[in-house]
Amino acid sequence: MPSFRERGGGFPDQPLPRMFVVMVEHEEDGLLERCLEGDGGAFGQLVDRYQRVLFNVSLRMVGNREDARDITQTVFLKAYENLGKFDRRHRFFSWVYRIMINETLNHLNRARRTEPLDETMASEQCGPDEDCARHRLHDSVQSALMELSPDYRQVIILRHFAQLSYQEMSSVLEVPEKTVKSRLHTARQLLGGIFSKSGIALS
Amino acid sequence: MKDKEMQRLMNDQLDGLATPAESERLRRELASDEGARKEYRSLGAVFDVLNRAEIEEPPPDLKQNVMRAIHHRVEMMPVRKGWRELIGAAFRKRPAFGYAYSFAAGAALAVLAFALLTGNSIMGSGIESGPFSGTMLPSLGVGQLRRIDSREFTLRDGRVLAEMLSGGDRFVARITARAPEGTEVVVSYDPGSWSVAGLRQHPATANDVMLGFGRISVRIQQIGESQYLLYLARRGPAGSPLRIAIHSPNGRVQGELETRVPRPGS
Repeated sequence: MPSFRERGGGFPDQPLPRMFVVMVEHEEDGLLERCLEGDGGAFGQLVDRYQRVLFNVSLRMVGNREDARDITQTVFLKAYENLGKFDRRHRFFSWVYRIMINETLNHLNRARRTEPLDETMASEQCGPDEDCARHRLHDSVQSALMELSPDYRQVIILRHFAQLSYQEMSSVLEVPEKTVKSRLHTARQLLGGIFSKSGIALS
Repeated sequence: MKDKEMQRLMNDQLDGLATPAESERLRRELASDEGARKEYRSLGAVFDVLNRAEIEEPPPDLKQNVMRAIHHRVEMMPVRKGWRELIGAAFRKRPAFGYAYSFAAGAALAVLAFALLTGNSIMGSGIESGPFSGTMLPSLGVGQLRRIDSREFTLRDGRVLAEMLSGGDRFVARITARAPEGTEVVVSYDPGSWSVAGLRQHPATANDVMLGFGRISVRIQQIGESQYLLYLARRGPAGSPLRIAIHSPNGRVQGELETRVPRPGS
């Protein structure tokens, strides 16, 4: 994704490019139909389609690759087991996202009860300077995200990492679009403060 | 312009969602308001940092793990859950049948216990169920059956012999296992090609036997040799093989058993 500066400084004039294809409804209907008939291969295609976005959401929510992998796997299993209960009037991604967020929040609650969040995403080994800088940025962004409350973290992740539209976010979060926008604005302001405090280079 | 409206315009602009008219409006506001310009720059910097953060690739084995778990659950579910739920639901619809349900469940358990203690649990019809020992097949008569294929799996602390036997239109898979506790022997088959007509074990053991859709598994709980006869009925085209997998504490081995009856003289 081009940076803010690369997109022309202050006034980007194109919508953000979509890195995840998350809503392809007609095709998805066919896949769901085949899954319900017991076609495991069709579910495999749904996994292919959503594993990247769900893994990234989970990773940014919990800050640990291993946990994010376990959560994503559990989410797909739960989705498969409960596919018969899925209301086809809704979007599959919205439904699976709800499962994901419940799993993630449960995980965070458990982690809070047992131990402080570790920093397993922190890169201990760096290669060339460029890699090192990238890793440092990655870790700093993750640390900053972890300082936000789950509600604010979610909106940032959905918009900036899963690249959902406001409308899609409203659908998956089950809140009005207006609430999405206001929550996003507050979350961005909070992040700005955290970035400044932790010395992340702001252009 | 109100603060809320200004915030919306700034976010929409940075999100790439502002219309040309809104962009122009924002440009004018920023030109005349130092505080708004500062806020816009700060917000833009947050976008910049977030946009520089990379998207991670999921672990390569994630899908494989999911599909393996699904495959395993689907195969085990129909027998472990389905029939109990169906029978239970049928009785529970009429509360007066509550006692009958308990009685029926108790009777079924008693029959099952008897079957296991005597080493007989034939489920299909038309197959005799006399006692047997060693490698002797009962009732069908050794003379009526011949070995089509066999595989021997050598484990660190034991061995499993899988044989495919056939006589006329009858097919029997015979599994003889002497394996450490915790070993699981799984025989899987294409349910479109085969159905299980009966299962017999000898001697009666405490091993867990689980019949699923397209598979049967035995988890060894008791030390010593045990033998299982899986009576199969053909439902589809000939030749669909049986797959044998053995998960032991020391690893996993697997193989296939041919089921095609060789032509006479071949």
